[in-house]
Amino acid sequence: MKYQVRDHAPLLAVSSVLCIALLIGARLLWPPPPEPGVDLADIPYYQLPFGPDDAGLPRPFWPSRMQTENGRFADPAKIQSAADCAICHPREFEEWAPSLHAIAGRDTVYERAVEANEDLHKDGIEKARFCEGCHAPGEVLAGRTNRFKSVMPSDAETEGISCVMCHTATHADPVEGNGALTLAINEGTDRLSNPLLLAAPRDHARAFGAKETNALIAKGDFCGGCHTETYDTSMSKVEGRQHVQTTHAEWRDSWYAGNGVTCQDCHMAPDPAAYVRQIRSGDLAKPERYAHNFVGANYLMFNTGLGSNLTFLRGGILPGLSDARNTELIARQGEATRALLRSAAGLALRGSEVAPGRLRFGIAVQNLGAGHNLPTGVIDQKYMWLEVVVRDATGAEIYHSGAFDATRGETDPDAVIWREDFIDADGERIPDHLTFITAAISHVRTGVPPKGEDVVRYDVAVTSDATGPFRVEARLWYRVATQEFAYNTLKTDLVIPPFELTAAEFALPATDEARQ
Amino acid sequence: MDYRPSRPRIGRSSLLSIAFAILLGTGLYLEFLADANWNAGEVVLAGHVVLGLGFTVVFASWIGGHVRRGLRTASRQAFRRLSWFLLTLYVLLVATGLLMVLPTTLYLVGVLWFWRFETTGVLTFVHFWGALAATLALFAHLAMRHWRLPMARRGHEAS
Amino acid sequence: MGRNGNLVAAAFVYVLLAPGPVRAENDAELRGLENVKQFTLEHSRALSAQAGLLEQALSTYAGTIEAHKGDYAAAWAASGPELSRQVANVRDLWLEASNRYETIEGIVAGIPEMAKYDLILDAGNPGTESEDVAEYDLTLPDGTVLPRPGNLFHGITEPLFWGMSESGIRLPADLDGDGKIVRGEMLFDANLGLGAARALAFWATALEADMTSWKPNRADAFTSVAVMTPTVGDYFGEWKESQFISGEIGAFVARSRLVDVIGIMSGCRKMYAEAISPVVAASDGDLDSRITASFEELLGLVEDTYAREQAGAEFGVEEADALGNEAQDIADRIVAMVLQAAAKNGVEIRG
Repeated sequence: MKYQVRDHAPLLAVSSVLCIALLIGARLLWPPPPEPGVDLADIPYYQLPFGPDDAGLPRPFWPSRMQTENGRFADPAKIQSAADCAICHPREFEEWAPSLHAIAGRDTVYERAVEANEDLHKDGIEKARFCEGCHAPGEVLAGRTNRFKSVMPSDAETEGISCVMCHTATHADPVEGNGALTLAINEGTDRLSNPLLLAAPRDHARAFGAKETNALIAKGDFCGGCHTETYDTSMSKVEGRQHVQTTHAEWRDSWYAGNGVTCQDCHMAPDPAAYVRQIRSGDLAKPERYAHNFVGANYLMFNTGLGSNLTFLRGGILPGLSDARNTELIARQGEATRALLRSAAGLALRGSEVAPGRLRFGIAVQNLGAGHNLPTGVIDQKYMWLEVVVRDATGAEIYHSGAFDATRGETDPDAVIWREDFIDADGERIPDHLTFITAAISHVRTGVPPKGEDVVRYDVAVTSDATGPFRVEARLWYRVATQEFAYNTLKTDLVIPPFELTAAEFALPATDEARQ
Repeated sequence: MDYRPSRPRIGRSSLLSIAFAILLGTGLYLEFLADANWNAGEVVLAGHVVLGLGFTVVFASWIGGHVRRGLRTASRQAFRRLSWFLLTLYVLLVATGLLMVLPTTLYLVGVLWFWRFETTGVLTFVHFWGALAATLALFAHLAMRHWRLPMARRGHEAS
Repeated sequence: MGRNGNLVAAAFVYVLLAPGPVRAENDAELRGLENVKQFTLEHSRALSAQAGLLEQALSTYAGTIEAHKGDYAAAWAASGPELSRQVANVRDLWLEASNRYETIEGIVAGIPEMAKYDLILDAGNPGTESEDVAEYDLTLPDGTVLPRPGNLFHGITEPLFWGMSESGIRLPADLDGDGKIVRGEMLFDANLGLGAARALAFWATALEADMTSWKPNRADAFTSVAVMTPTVGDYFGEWKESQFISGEIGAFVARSRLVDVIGIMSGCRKMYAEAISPVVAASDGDLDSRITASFEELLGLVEDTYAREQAGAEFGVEEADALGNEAQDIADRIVAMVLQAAAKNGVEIRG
């Protein structure tokens, strides 16, 4: 035997034994952490007014359908805040920071709406778990959505839909909705210190980038966990269940889902409006990367012309940003938002007819670019209407429908309007989003489906002194809140401005011959 | 041929063997068992990194002389090929290890930079399989005859 | 021991073991509890006084309308500017009164014998609902009786004074004289307004009277601190928001004054120090220290901000946001710790 073997074999053997001993010693000296999370029993004064589930188990987050993977509450000291994630992921943070996801739990519009609802019922704060489950899951999962807040606050809880809320998801139920997501938020924490995490990022991937999580959050079904909303007796006065937000189902049943175009493809494209145009042209290639901007339709929350009033509406400045940077990011996202809105709809003329003293025509409101209905989401507040002006040959206005009173912030009550109505127990419309007393849902006009159109027929009286050719000016308007909400709930004089989605003019000849 | 040192001592090669065994053991632990307990795993990882850096320093100071001696004394072609292969594996191990701790080093001096996740996957893959291959190659390197038999004995074996 | 003796012994054991309000342990706690009562009573008196002022203001408004025999258009034509001032005054006084009540709302709602006032004043439903009905009828000056009309602050007077409910509007009117009539610019029903204001003053006075005979216990003390401390954070939040809101949009919410925040904060700290700290310190000295230090921190923050405001400092958006967030964070931490201390000491918290 070579001496090298005789000399080194014992060394290698002894070292291996020593190594095993060291490893066993390490395991003994540094035992694994206890199961993460907090037990229900360890949250003093936590109210459970809704009773247990069918199996007799407590439902700590009900009426929200959100769950943690291990069934325990989140420990607020351990939830990673987005500002922490920003240390290593500044690009993603700055994409996300101006988005509505970032302020979902803290913007004043939302906060006032929740407070107004909470005041309606003695268990109002606990009912608000329904709202907070989607808007501020950190608050609900930590046990702070409770009349007695015995859980410590943390930045992460105030951040709305932050990084960990998506990047620890393991399950979504888009049919159940109402926050039907399971988050491994207790397990989703880094177990290594920052320097060693950089050497061995696999632990970070375990916490926030598990294969199942990455696959799930790339699907439209994941978005449906929150972007599907139904009301039931646990938090409203409806009988049975009533659909309120059906964005996921609208997409699921559309051409877009059938052709593999997901929510993320449009709303996380670096330039969503350009991507919509690309899809409309027939090119279904995926975006080159997915940006965390989640560009949507709320133009009001990006109106930097409001100055510091916008800061009021948005609930302050997000932790981790200066005012100047916050404004800069908001302004940039505002441009993308407005561009996206303008890429969604179109108007077309669908036939016209001149009869004695009457002018009849149809305007098709077309959904050209949205993978869901127009409008969609919280459509008791977010509504759309058609403004039509008919002028005669002299330019005189002979008909006007859908005017907007900018002084009082009111839409023509006779306008053709796409809106959902919340109805109270007395049959009266609730214009200011008081969900907890909503007894029924009705639709003035249901949304225009993806790649579909809704033709609105007009029959206009024409006086004898009005002569053709006639011109029809059509504008499709969108508004994110009713004036009643701004006044009654937000308690401001702010007139919620409408946004023009699209406009068109059509010439109607004077005679009857060519008018199809 | 026996050119072992004339007196017993803990030389650099001995240190390297000890370190290699511990590095292999801790590396296998990190790969397969650390997930269950990262409290201990963090200590093991820190130890693996520190020991690995120590290994690198000692290896770098020793390998030059060892290769020169080997070139003089190792006449068996298969052994020489194996040795170069082993050296390549060690270089890969050290290089991938240093690349993996580069972000940590930069962080400690105040610079934040890190590899793409896919890159760390590649580095880990090469480091892990390189370690296993180096283990086998090391045993072969230690045990394998490295000299050519005298002509007479070669003739005797052939017949 | 005979049968009677057995009964006495059983009663004695029952008294010892039965759950109920925890008795005060010592004189210090007793003094502290008396202080809780005085603090709450002080704010209740302020509410009564404010409700009285509101009633007077409504009386003046109703008098102006009555002078024109209930013809709102004629009243507006004759006394428009005066009516504008009266409506603005009513709204300001309402905001003050509402603020006063919100300061003690949590305590009132948490004391079983006072909870009915919370339903009547702030949280109760009209009789058409099946639960949490405000148990009172509202008699208006013209003799009309509204059975179980709902709570006075948010169910009746707020929607009325701000024109949120169409049924209460008697005449749209350009209150600010800018040539436009926007939402909220209107003359409201004087009969309903005066009737509701009288009821508000009546029930505020009744609350004050009942509060005078209230004997707070340990649970009340913990409840008081736990429910009043968040209001400090809320009010500081309102102060923060007021730094953001510029005149273009206007907001008709209460603009919290830091001097009031200091008053409430000082009261909370005193209540804790006298009535609760001895109890907490006995079981967890570290927790007591942390709570006490947090109270000092919050009070210091509010006082410092107030002093700067008084000295003419103007707070930028970023600074106001940071201050408001910090105050709310400290207040939230105090509440969490007080509740944890209450749980450790087996105190029942009601709300």
